[in-house]
Amino acid sequence: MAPVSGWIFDTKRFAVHDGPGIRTTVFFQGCPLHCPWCHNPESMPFARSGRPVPPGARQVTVAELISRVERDRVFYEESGGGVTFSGGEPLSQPRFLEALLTACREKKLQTALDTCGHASPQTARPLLRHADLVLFDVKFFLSRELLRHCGATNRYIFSNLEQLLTDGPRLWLRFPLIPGYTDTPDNLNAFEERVREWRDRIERVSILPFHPAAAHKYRRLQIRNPMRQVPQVPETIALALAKRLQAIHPDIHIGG
Amino acid sequence: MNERIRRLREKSNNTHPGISTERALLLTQFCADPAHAAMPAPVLRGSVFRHIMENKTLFLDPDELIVGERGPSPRATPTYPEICLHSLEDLEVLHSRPKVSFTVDSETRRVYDQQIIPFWTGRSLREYMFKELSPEWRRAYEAGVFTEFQEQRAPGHTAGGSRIFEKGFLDILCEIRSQMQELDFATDPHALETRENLQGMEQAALGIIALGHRYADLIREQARKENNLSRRNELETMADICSRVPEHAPRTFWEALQHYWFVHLGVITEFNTWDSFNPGRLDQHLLPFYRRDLAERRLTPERAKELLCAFWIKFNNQPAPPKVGVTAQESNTYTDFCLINLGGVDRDGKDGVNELTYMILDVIEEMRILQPSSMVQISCKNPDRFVKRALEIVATGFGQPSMFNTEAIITELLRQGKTLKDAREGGASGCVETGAFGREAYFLTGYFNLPKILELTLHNGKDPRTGIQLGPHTGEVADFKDFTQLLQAFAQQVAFFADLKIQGNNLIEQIYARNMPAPFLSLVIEDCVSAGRDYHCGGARYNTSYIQGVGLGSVTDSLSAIKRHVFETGAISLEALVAMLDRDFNDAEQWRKCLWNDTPRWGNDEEAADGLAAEVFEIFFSAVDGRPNTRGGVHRINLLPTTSHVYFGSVTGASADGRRAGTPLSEGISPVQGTDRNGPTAVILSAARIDHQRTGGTLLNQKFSPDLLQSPESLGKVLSLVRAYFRLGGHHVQFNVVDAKTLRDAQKEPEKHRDLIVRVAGYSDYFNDLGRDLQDEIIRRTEHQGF
Repeated sequence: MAPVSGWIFDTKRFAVHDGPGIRTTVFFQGCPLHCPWCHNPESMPFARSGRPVPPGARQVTVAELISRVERDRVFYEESGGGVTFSGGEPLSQPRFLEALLTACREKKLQTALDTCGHASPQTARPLLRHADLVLFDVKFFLSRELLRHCGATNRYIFSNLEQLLTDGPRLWLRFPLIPGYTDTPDNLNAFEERVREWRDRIERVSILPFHPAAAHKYRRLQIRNPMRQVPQVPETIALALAKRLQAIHPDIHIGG
Repeated sequence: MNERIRRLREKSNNTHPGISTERALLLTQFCADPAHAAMPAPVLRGSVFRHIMENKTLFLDPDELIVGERGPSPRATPTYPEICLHSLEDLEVLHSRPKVSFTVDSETRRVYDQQIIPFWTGRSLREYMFKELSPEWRRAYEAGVFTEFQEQRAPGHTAGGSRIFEKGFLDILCEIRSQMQELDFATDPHALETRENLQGMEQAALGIIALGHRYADLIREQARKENNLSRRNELETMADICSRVPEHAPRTFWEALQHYWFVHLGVITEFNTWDSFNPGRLDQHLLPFYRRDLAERRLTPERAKELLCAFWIKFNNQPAPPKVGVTAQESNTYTDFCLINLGGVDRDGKDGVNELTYMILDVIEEMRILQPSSMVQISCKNPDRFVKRALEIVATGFGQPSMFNTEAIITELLRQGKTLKDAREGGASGCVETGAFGREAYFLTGYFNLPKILELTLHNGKDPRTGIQLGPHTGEVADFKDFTQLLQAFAQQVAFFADLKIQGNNLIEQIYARNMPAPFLSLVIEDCVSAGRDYHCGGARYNTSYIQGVGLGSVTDSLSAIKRHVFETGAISLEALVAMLDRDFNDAEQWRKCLWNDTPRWGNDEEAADGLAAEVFEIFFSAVDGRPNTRGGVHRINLLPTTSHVYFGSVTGASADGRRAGTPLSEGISPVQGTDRNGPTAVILSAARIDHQRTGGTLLNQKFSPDLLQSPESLGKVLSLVRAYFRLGGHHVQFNVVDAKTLRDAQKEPEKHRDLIVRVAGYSDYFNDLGRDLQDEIIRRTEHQGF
């Protein structure tokens, strides 16, 4: 049998915003959503056989990737860290992800899965259960808006999240705070409601304020940057939201 | 920090260092007296010391709690013409150079011209030394293959141990006298030498005791005139303290600080010792005094902290003695490398962190001054709370405290044959140098330019800058059939220059031992008194000589470039590459970029480069380690640069890794500036690839962007990074927490950044006081972000 391989566009060592401790983050290539504020626009297109390889994407085997990730084991052990699978969307390469999660389990590497949750529940459920921690990104708590801005409905996302809430590994909720998109009063109210409702099950809520740091990537890739006019979210706004949520949940975090 | 400390701190920071002739005059007066001409060297040196202590100007600031200055006033810096005689031109350079200058007034010039220069010309150790050193040695020295620490400064390189805090000088005097009584001229062939040594020490002890009493008198006098009642009481207490210490052992916290300070002054007045001196494990030494004073209600924590702040000022008032020439280039700073050790383990091997550790960390943070330097020893037994507190201070961005691995230090000392107890009581002094505190004379002898030696190897032993044949003929580049042959030639060259350096060291050590004994320092370091032997002559319990390798990153990357592009891919012949280096890549910018970017580099956790670094390490190590010195000890290596990587770079042509001629080398064991691209974990894994435990210290610099240390959570991750490095055997790591933009702004508008302090290599300095090339070098270091 051919070794399992998949498409990634980067790995970053000393990742400190993608879960507990010091981590290595593996960025998968390809995402089913197209969020205008995406920090990794290069990760959006899928690599498919017979089509040109997206710039920066490369194919790696599970074995290759695991041996790279294992280099930093001593740092994971000292810090309670491990590997984070992010992207792109890891759930979009289920066979690859499953093999990676299995290999990590065998090697006693702690795993985190950073996901938007948009994958068929049949595919997603076993994978989500397989990780030690899920970083679940929810952008819109109201379905129409996700479809309008990011090109998908909330159906799968919430089905998967509901399932995780009933049964599954440790769970962190991540909310990108995007001016003109996710910061509407309705969405923020719904967010607050959900945090209240799920507070016993969710270990941490992270607010990820928009930062125009990815602008250069859009320029380099020569793709339109829908956010080019949008400035960084002022710290006060993020703090105000954090304060609101702190009344409900003990671990509210700004940034990853 | 209260008002009075603020005032003392301001005064200290705002006083520009100047040259004082007082010490030179007292010395000259004494030595020129024909009555002293026949004194044996130890007795002469002890008596000179006593003469200075009995006659030097005393200084008392109205805000002071701890008294004593080396010069007649704060920052008035003495010279040591018996070691290095400055010419009038030297004085002019010191006065007018743009960085690290010393005010030299016309009276000083006059005194030098009429008294100091006429007497010491032909008598200074430096002149003698250079006359005696071989022509081969001098040629290599002049070419910048190595430097010589002892050409302008006395060896020093030691730190205080528990003895200082347990004994008064009267106790030591009694030891000396009973030693003398026991001397048996009938059976002991060295009895005369021993007696002379002890007589010198006796004079030195009397000198330091006199200094205490002179201060007591001055302060008592001042108290009588003082109208403010609380200050008068304070002065009376201070007078009592000075009539007690250093004659007797200290009993209280305040006495202990004052006592140590007198000892410190003694060491740095007797000689211009490298790395000044250092109280060693300060938090542990002071603890019994502190606890007893609190229990007996003599002291409050607030007062203890105020005293520590006042103590800190005293260090800052003593700039490193003036350096010129190569010595100024290799260590271009006012910092005199007193390194306060905190934490670690105690002599029984238990967690040594205590309440004073935290208090001293607070003092370091509040004072935020260059001197003393500070470090934390981190043992696996120390709590995370301690390391986090240290990192919080690191996060404020002035490079202190640096971080050391206690277990590594202990293993290093044990490998060198120290007892477990002595190893546990040891630490690091200067920049990163391992030592058995209070018991070891560990002379640093000079920096060793590894990239220059590769340059010489590529030119069959000849220096391409001058055409002079410096090393042996180890083959023309055309004759190297494979990489192994090149590496063997490099190893031969390293061994040759290590030999040359060691020959020089053994000569210089004997000159010091014979002509310049250090009777005062001998009182302080165990077992000089009991052995009746001088500190410079193997009197200490342990005697080590170090050679400090510089440019590990640069030499590794250059070898890696040659291996890859010449011997693996065959893209270029070695002759063509060397020809390109000789032209400093003129008309070969494309090639330079290719070498710079497409070479496996040290610091990226890549075996292709890291394996070579380990080989270079072995070559250097085997050339030096275990070679006997003349004091009953052996030579060892360590890897640190101070500012010599800038000097060494300036005398080294272009390197095969794409470095341009004359630009700085890599510093310490850090990667070449800006070439570590895989983040800090990769740097650490590379750095851990060499065997730190077979050195006496390595120096790793890391530059972090400030946001990486902002939250307690991210601080915790940096803590794990440090713990992981130490688990892998790393010796030391230090952090610059400052972004490149701030540094560039400071270059543009220095006046707006007068307070900006950065970590250089083993010490912190004002950014404005650094030369432009060093500023640029720091800016080029990779700034690690968290992803």
